[in-house]
Amino acid sequence: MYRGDRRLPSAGDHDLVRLSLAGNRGAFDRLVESTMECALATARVILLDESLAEDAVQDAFIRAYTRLPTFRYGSSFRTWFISILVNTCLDLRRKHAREIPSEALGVNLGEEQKTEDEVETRVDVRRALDSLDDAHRLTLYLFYGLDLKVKEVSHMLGVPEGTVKSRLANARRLIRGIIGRDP
Amino acid sequence: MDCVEARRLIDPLLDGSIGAGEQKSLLEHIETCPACRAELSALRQADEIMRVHYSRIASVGSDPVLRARTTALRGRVASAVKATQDARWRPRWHLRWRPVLVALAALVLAFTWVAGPGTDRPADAPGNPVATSPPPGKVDGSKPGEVSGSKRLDTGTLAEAEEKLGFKIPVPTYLPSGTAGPEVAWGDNSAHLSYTADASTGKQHIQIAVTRLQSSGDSQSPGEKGSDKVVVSGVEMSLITTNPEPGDTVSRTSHSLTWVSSQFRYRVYGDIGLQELMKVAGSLVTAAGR
Repeated sequence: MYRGDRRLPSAGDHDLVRLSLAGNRGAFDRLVESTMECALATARVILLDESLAEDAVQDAFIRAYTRLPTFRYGSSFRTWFISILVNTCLDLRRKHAREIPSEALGVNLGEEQKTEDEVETRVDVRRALDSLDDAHRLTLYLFYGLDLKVKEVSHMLGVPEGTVKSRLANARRLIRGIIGRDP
Repeated sequence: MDCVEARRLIDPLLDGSIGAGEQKSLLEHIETCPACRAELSALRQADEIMRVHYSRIASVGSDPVLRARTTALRGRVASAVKATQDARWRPRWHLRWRPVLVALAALVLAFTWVAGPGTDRPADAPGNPVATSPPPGKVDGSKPGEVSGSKRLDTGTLAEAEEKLGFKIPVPTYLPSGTAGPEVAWGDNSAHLSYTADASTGKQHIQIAVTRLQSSGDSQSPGEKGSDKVVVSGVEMSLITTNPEPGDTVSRTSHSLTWVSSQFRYRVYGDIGLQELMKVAGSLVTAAGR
């Protein structure tokens, strides 16, 4: 049991950052625990390789720990960490010169399908989203999957907010075109 | 509001980037316009489909294999972080002994200089070489402060440097949190401040050089090859970015900001990221102007 753990159950992420900076070893573990699931999913989306994704997540957590003194409390720890992770993953991807294959962003689809029409629409939606380029798909994943704001996505990807907005608008019209065909 | 304006605002509404006034006007228009209402409804549905689609991808879900891998990775990360924590809290003997090491190195350097080739003193001359050494520059004809063509810097405190140089050395009022230092060194006309920006790991550094210019030609703004121009705190600076090459011992991109002001050349160099370095440089401009 680490020093000060009794203070953790009700602590928010900013409190955990402060505790961690003050030397509480359990505090950062809590931050890891709360962020791990979406971190791993994000790394998988970008890298498409389980081992590389796990390495990237581990590396990003170490980077986050060493950079914790620079955390400014202007955003959640999760958003700040995902920004570090996305950069770590993009660096790794460039290093390994990998391309996202077309089936990349559909790993968990196919659940809870009820009717043939729904199945058909889901397949079409997935196919349409998979046809987008990497930059569009990563934008959509960060905005819809991780519920980040346009400004946060823009900052993470290093593109203007207008670019993020136009990618979202394009995707909406693409999907509307598919569901608009339904009787 | 007409339909054209309403259609333009639907995406900002769904992005969450619409202003309160525009949102109110849009929703009033939607109430009265079936066509725009249908458009908003269709795009909202598309939005919801994508939200469900990508939320599923962002979640490990109930897949037992993914759950097991996630748990294992959590353990790996905890161990790696613990190792980093241990390193952070371990007494850093080399920092405590650094002044002694610097003094020893200076002693060895002075001995090499006095007893080395080019002097009339035998290499194995007995006695204290520092106490018996002639003034710098008198041994081999080199200029004061130089040893065999390279600059020799003295080290000490900021006050000592200012006393030797005869000018006030500005220090930045902004430094990233966790920064340690400075270590101070000086030459004939320049002061050098070294900071460790991430004192816990010692991996990030900031270096500041303040040089008093000797001639009017030196006061030209440095147009270094491959540099860009940036303006920080109202001062134009030359920016050079250096990316690590394969095989380099450094792994981070570093930046250098150089500017000339009031007969002094300032250079701020570091691998803490450009934004942070510009803040440091900006605070140095302010400090130098006082």
